Amino acid sequence: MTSTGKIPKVDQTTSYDVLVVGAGLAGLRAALAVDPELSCVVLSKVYPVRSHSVAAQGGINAALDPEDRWQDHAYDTIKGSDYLADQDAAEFLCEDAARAVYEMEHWGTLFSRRPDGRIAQRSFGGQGYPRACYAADKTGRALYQTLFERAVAQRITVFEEFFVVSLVVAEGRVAGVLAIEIASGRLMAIPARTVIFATGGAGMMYARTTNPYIATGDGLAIAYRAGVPLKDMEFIQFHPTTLPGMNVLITEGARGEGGYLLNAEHDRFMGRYAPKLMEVAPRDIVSRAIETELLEGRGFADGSVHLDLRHLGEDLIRHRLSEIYDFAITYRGINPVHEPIPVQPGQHYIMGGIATGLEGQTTLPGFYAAGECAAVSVHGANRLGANSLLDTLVFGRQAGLAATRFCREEPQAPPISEASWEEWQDRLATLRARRTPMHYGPIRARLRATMTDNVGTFRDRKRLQAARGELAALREVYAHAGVMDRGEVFNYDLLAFLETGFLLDLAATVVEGALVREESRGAHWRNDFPARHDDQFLKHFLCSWSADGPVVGEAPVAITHYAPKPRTY
Amino acid sequence: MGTVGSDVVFQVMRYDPRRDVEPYWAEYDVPVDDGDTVLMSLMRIRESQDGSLGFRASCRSGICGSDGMVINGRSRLACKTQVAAMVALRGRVVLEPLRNLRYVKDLVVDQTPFWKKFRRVEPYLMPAGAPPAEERRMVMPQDAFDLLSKASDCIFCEICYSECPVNGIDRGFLGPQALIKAFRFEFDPRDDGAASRFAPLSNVEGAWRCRTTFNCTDSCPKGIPITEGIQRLKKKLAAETLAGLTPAYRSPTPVESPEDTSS
Repeated sequence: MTSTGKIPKVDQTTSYDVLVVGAGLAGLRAALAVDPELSCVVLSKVYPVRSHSVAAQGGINAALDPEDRWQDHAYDTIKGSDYLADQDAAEFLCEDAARAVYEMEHWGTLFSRRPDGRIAQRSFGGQGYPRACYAADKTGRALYQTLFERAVAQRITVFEEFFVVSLVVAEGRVAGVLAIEIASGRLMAIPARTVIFATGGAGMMYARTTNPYIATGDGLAIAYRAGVPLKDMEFIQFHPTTLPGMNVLITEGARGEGGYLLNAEHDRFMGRYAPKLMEVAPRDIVSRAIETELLEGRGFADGSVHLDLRHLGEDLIRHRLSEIYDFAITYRGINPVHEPIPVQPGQHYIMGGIATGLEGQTTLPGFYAAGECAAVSVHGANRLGANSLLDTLVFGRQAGLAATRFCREEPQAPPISEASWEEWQDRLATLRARRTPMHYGPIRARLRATMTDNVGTFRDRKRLQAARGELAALREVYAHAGVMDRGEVFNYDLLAFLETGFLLDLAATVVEGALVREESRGAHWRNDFPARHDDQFLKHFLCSWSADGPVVGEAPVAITHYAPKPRTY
Repeated sequence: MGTVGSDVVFQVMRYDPRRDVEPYWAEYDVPVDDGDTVLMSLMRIRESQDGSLGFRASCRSGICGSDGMVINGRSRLACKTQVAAMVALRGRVVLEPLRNLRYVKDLVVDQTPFWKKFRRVEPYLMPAGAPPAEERRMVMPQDAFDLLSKASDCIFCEICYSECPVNGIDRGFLGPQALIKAFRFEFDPRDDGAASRFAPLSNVEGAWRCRTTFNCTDSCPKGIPITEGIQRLKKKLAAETLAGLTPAYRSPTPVESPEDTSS
């Protein structure tokens, strides 16, 4: 909804009970879980259907089959996380999975089917049973469209193209947000009793990423600056199979359906890294395997290995992998029916995020988070494929229900002060007026390069320290940088400038986490500490904001039934 | 072609409502690499030449529908369009905002009418009866399933809306996207919403206004056979009319419907 008429800068008359930021799967599921008696609004910096949930391809895990058990799904998830997942959270996720999938089915999702009409399921990385429900290789879009249609049916109010810049805290609890209405450039204060962040990931800090331009970690950085700690930020998932160049995602489902990974010597090299699961080992293991092949000179000239689907046949490729068939043709001119697809690892997901509990609650009363921006944590050190869609639906709903309870139990939110609005208004005015040749563009390019070169699949102290130094230098440059667009209407230049600041803050937490974690666990691999050390590091690191950079704290990992074991596949 | 590795001229329609009386053309020389898409070049302009260039973008790979624009005369997704192919066509890349929607700034258009029309067809599953306690067995012939699945590939990019000649002359026409969305539910065996959707679909601004030019089908970046879907919808509406559901020809519902508060 684009607002009409003149809205006062701090409009205390329209205070919402629940304000959701982000209109992807987690955000919309949260909004749909809010009691309809309460007033609820969803803010999104893009039109809802542009959210990156629509890009998810392979599937959503649920132990639907009578032969399967949710406890086995939980075990696979915990083992996949290299035992860093909070086990109560992983169990909650997996026990609730079937309900979440059937709910979507009843709301209209067109899942792919078995011949007998039941929802089809395929193998996915690190799963001991084929339990990824899917809609061809466009599962995210199928789920998202259904949820979006549900939101339309339920008349959920969405403020489209609103860019949140800050979380307002008053009297020790959340009081609302400050947001720029992109169409007009106005800064608005939107009071709310509860705020739920479902703002997605931060892949734009990397050069090679499957993430969209909008994945700039806004929600994470805003929460962090408001004093809410970020958990496990050193764990960045690199997806094994992305197309070299744009790093468009090639679904893990392609390997789940039986695709092979081959090096330049035509060797199915995964046999040397994960003899049992081969290509469907978890992503951290497959990515490291590919990077090792490349480093040791067994890759192809364009820095890729091959994903060979030819033996699967045209019918399967065109029906169940239709989207990647189209990608390979559009972006590489390669028909996967006849030729192998070149692939290389690319940043895909952040396991870490805003530290939350099982209900999405954070250290700030009234403030919740769900989806990729949150770390409950169910993914620990490495997320398994087809668990993130599940995460958004299960914990999005949890956050919506919890916010509803909060509204019933707590009094009205404290008002947003004029001063908090003016502080940001002044900041934006100064920024627009600043005359400087330094644009955010080169800062972003350097940030992407340093994160990709120094904080990638293989890490060591030397490179991490180099990244820390470069980030400090970039923050210095950023402090004096400015924008080219001084206009108000659709000023994407200004938004990209603010996003760059978010990314710089977050990159620092990734680097600090990676430096203190002197072990190798899940997606975090230290060449100088190539083993897991449970005695020292079976714990979460929490990063809290300070003027001098991230302050690292700790939190225990919840262990219920699964004692940490060596992780082999 | 011989464009790879050399600079390509991007000619872009610029307009800022707070500054410009009318739109004007700006030109940018952009270094282009093998395989670059139009969107990658636009991002390069914004990050290194002119930060004020306004365009929407998100996923970069043709699945979010943000970056529909008119490229060398046709509505296309910038992220699915190769620069080299466009240069081969016209020697340069000419960019304009989508048609049939009001331009707001540079390549950004006002999507409000598009979304209002989408909402008007009640685009959600209206199941018959209460949801079953256990998994519903949706046994459907594979080709029927494929048809619905294909129709729901829509990414809301507005390219069909921009290319439809009827949208160009009749602002009230629902347009191809809303109709293919209606098709997706009207032909879902689980749906029971026909009576509710009949009025918006069968009035003069609905399905019958489609003139089967196939522009939507030809331009759809997801390859959805939109025109065919609309004709099937017409057939269904005709049958419903003959069955006496409601008179087919009614006065149009206003575009600015008062209950439409959630756009």
